[in-house]
Amino acid sequence: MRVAWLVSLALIIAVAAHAEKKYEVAIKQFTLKNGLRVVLSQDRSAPAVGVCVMYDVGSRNEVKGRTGFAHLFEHMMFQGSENVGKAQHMAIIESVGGSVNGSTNTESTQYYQSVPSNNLETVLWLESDRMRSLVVNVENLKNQQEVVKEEKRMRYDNQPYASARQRLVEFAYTNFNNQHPTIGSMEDLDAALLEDVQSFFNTYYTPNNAALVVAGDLNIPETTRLIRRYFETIPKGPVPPPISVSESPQTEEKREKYDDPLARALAVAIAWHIPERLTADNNAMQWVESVLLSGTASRAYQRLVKQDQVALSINGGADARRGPGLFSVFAVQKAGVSAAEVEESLYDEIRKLQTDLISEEEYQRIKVRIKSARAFQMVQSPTSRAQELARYTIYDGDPHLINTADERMLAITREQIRDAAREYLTPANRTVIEIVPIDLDATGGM
Amino acid sequence: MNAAIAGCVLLMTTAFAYAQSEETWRKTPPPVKAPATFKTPRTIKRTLPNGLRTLIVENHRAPIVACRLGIYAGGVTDPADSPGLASVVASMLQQGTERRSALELREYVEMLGGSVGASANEDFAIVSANGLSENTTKLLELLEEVALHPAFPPDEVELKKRNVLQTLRMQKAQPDFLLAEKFNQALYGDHPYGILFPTPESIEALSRERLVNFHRDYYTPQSAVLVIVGDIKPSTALAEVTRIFGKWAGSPPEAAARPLPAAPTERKIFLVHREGSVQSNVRIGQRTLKRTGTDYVELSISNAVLGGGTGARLFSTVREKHGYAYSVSSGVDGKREAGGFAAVAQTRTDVTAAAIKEILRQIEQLRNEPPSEAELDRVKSLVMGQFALRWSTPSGVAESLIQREMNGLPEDYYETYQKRVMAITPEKVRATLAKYLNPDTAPIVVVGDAGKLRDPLKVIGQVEESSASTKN
Repeated sequence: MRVAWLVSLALIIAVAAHAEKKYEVAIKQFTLKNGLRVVLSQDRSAPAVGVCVMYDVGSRNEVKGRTGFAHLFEHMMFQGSENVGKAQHMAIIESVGGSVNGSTNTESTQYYQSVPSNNLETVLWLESDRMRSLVVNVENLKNQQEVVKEEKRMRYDNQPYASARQRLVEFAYTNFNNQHPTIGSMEDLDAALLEDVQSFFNTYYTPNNAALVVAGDLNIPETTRLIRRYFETIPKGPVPPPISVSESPQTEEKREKYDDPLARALAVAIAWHIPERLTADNNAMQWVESVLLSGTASRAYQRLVKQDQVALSINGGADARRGPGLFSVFAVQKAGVSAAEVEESLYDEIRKLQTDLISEEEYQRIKVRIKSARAFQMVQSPTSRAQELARYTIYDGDPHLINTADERMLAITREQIRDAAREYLTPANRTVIEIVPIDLDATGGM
Repeated sequence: MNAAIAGCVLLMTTAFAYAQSEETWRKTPPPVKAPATFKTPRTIKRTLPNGLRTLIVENHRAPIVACRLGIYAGGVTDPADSPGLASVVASMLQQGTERRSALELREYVEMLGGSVGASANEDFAIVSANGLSENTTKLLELLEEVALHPAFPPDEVELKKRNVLQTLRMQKAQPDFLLAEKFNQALYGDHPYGILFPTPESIEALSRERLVNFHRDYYTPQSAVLVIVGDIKPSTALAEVTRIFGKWAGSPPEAAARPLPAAPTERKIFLVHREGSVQSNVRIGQRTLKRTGTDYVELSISNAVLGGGTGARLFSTVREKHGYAYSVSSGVDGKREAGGFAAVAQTRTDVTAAAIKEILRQIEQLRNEPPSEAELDRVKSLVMGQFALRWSTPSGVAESLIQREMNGLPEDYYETYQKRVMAITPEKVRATLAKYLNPDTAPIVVVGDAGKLRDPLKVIGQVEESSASTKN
């Protein structure tokens, strides 16, 4: 056993030594006079470019009565601008052989597209036109309100467990900015007025509140010239109002039951409060996620799914927000198993993490995963790279952080992992939702 | 009232400001550049004495390697009394081999900085291994171990059975699952393609012995193709493949032909009641062409005009114009023995019938009137752009090659693909859809609140109802 372990360790170290080789992501950055942050990342190995425009506005910026706005606005951005026809953005991207999408989360709204590299200019034309002159009218608003309400139904209302997991976030947090779901409520979506939408655009959709990232097969002088041409004359906007995402400290466990008419199995959703991204503690909690939840060799999977056989599935992880985040776990219970049994097994694994250091073998194995991820990052899609760079630019003010991400993670010690588990995964710090199916046909549960 | 006026004033002011702008050059979109001509990467092919076909491609973009082993051990080889057996066997490969337990396997893969996967579709299974190229030999050895020497440990088999049973019960709450289950039945009947998931009876009847026998019978080199793409030297890789896979032996049993049902002669609506649904999930479709069908590429492009992407007919009418749905599209899929077409949408309950009528109207319109050149050009660009992107990573190349091989497509399929796509005319689109789509008889499946849907749907066609609310 010992010999096998030593051989394994030798293998790990050999792999790790190779993975030390630098896989730098190239970065050139500059800021236009109107405040637009620009990042160019050249990689000529495949003939495609990814363009990401990220605006520093998400659901955390929304006010009471207007939840779902940031995401509704993401839809509005595709409805046409001064020189681009209604709903033509997507069609034009497709006509140049590309694909496009947008997404909104609690902190940001991003628009990303990949196109063959010889059609980059088309993307810059489209993105600059909607940044400067989006058409906001009643017809577009009404139509997209309906579309977003359907999206809410499809992704959340019509899916087992989805609403319950939204409730976990609402219940765990105390600050409205952090609590409400990005999709918003039906009432607030219906209540959106044209003037609210126009005001939202004027406040948040400005060059000084955005980052433009181009990654992939690009020519730097030519791309710089095009970006200045299309974006430089867009006027600077106001400084958006500040928001607070601070939370009152939680001093005792919060717990409730949630009836889910669409669920067929009991499940449990749990969250603990953790600090903001890029802190040593948050990085240590990312390690806790790896040890506890990542993959079938992880501790929670082995204990709950394989050994005790109390869960059908288990997943979760650590947030990396600019403000207070959550470490969450979601487990679907096996038939005939109570929430208490699932929690007992899970909390016992957490106790082990809090008491003993993880083994040297486990530690090195996860290090190998972190390092080899850099090799695979070399072939990540241009849009994926553009999005990652946009996040480091908007959230942290520095796109170069992409090249030191693994160093920061590799610097975390086994002691720091144990201490973070002790500090944050406590009963007083946790919120628990027990999800209970309602069998509406009264044919009995599982 | 005041708010509305204020809104109008604001809008007018904004419009005025932009009208004043001297940037009239923005009116003209930049010129569109044509897609680059596609070339498949150089592939080295060998067949080993035991029948295993091997394809190797060098790709030095990153120090990684992607391996795919395809085996004709898919759903069509399920015994009639054991639907889902092929899928269970594939999913059990990583649950322990003759050398290592499931946990030891996983830990070993992680130490190699890679990943291993295994799954089976209706036609074939694929076992994959990705990792750092310096570990190519170890990854190939691991691939051989997992694919060819599974242990099917008894306790893992028991756990699998219980978990699959519970998963099945949970799937029955998912509208997408219920939709696919009913739709496949409507198109393929008792053929293996018609069965989406094992039944509770077939799960209970699973035994270690059945898994072992299936694996012995169907995981043979004569039914397999190995693809390796990455930062490797082909001669070295080939030598390793010969050493590692050379001892593999065997050939599969005779395939039993499974008949397909006759095409329907009248429209039928299968309404599956799902308690608590706030939306309807809709699928309209029929059998069309198998993957190697002569007009498959033409049908695929013609379908894209109808429902592929956001500029397509279905998206711009059902979603953008009417707001009936967040998600609506259509697709064509081709398997080895048969294939189908399906238009899919999720709509709110009260506009379900209207959405179905609109979809049928759009299909009929394209069967009668060709699309514009501009519309077709957009689709061609979209398809070729996505096609080109697939070849930019070792995994993408490996996937493309294994799919071509396992589907029985000709060696020059990807070379001729671009030319074929570009040659399609608007009239060809119309003629292809007219030939292969029959909206008057295509089965329609709806999953939702039957109480509210029953009457509006009866207006469209004969309705056959069933319920999803079963305990088992």
